[in-house]
Amino acid sequence: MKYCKKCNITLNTQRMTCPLCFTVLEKNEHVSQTTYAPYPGYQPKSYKDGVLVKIFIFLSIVAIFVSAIVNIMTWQANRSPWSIIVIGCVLYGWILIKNTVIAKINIGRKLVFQTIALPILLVIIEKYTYSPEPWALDYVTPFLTVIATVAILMLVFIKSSKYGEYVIYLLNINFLGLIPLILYFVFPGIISIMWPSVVAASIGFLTFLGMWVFAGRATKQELKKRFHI
Amino acid sequence: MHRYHAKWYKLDNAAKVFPAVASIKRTYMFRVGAVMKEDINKEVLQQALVDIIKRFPSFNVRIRKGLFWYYFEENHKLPFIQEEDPFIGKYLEFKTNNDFLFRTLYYGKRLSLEVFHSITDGTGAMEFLKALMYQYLKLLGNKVSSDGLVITDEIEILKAEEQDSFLKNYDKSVKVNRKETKAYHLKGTNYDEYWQGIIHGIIDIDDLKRLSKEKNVTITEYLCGVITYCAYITELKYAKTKRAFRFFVPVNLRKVFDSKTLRNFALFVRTTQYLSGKDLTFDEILQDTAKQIREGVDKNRLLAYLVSNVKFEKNFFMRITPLFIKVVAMRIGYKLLGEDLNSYALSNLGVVELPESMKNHVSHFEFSIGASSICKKNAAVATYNNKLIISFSTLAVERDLEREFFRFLTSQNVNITVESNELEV
Repeated sequence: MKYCKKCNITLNTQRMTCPLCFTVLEKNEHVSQTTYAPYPGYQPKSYKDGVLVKIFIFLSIVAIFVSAIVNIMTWQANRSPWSIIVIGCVLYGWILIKNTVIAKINIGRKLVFQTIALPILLVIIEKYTYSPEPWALDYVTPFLTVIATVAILMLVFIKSSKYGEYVIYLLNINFLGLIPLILYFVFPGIISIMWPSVVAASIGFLTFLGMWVFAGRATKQELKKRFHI
Repeated sequence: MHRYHAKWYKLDNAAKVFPAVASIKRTYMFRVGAVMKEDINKEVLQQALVDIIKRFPSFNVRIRKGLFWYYFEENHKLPFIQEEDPFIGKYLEFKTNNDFLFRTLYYGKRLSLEVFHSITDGTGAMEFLKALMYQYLKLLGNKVSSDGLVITDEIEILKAEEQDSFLKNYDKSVKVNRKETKAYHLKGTNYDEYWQGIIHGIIDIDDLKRLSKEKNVTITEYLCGVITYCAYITELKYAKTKRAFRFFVPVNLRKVFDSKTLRNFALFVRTTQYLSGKDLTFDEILQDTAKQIREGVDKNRLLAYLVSNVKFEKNFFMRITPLFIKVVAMRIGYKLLGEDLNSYALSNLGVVELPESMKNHVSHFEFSIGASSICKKNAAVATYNNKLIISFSTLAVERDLEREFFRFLTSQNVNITVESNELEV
């Protein structure tokens, strides 16, 4: 124990000065109380710089910047905004790494994110590669939702006690599965081949029904939790 | 899938705001701790924590986002203990903590819980700490009995412990009138990265009883009076401000409204004193503070406050607003109705009672509340075994107020031992 003669207090401290008034402390021999270290000593934190991440961020910016400049400068020779594909791929690459590979979030959530992000990229690629046959919205997008649904259902079958966590993502993907078919009817011409959209919508709808038939209570409870007002 | 049943809770009225406004600048982590007589055995402590968590379902939760509100849901992971570092009450990233909303810390002889204010208040956290200590001592092979003072895993889980007592006591017919004046905020230089300094003063309760009896006030009122006086002599006397010094004193509602809940159930009293530029004595300030606190702890006034808070959560338009908009609204509301109205807070947990069989293992209890970048200084008090521990937390490097507080008491012949986390000052 130490003693501050200005504040008139006993101190249990490793410090040489009073933490209140900064007077140099005296040793107090009279107080025979057992002492203990009150708190661990202060050590400034060191921070990792994450140089690799910074390099990749910078390289991404360079790739976007250079392709945009080249695209603009050669516009007379090739009247196609091809740099948009480069930009799209770079941004998607970041989403893939940060959100899907690294992030510690529910797999269902990652799948929902991918079922939205990937079609957007594919539509861009299809448009600016001037593909003669449509494929992005016609085939890939519907089957993507089917794959995502099957993936989550498999996870649920492996560990049914985790069903609740996937309810909301299953519903999201069911809904996304309906979108191609809705587009087909609402905006004629965007999608020319109907059957993949019908498959996706059907699987989405049947999954939705299955959620109520096989796990109605859990589904209801989960929705109540998520949407309670 | 029929086995699926996850317990979940709505957040109680007080809890709702904290997830929206918490950040490294205002972490809303408060802390209860016990200093034992022996060094903590970490393996045993870990086991005790795992044993006891199932007895406290309202602590065994993680927080999730719904479309309209946050909610708690049963946490299937296991809580773990951590060795303490000098950064008190730092912002808790739930993900790094197995999604739990509290930390269990040990260092030497000290066992502490740092709790995010959403799951409980000081009283609830202290019950959990006592139960943890009980289990810990039991596992160490000590003969302990709870004597009805500690919750143990042999006692059934009660619904009353999980009650949202704010809703329970809501009464639509109560009229509310809430007019508030803005509060003066003490000045100071923040630590880097909003670190928090903590200063514990260990004071003999008999000395304080003598002093407060002399002035005919309670101990809480006396401490608030001294702190107000210290704020006055160190800063407010010379400050040019029209704002009032407003002291925020939490009130435990469990006794007032008869509740056994382990979740949040506290409201507060706020004093309003215009001190700047005036020439006042300690006695004038003390008596005014004491009078305002005494008038504030009135069941009808507290009920009116409770109703006005719950009304906000019951408002239909508020309820159907999506959470991300609600969060923005709560941040603005919190600034206007919370931080802007407080100058300083002192929370008194009261006397901590332990069964005889546990008493000789414990030296004292501590309780501290966080500060924020706006209200930079706060204090909290816990009493055990004739020792009153006042814990000043400060985001500001300056220690004038605390120094004056201790000097004021020592000038009245009070014996004080001080400890602090040793950040640079």
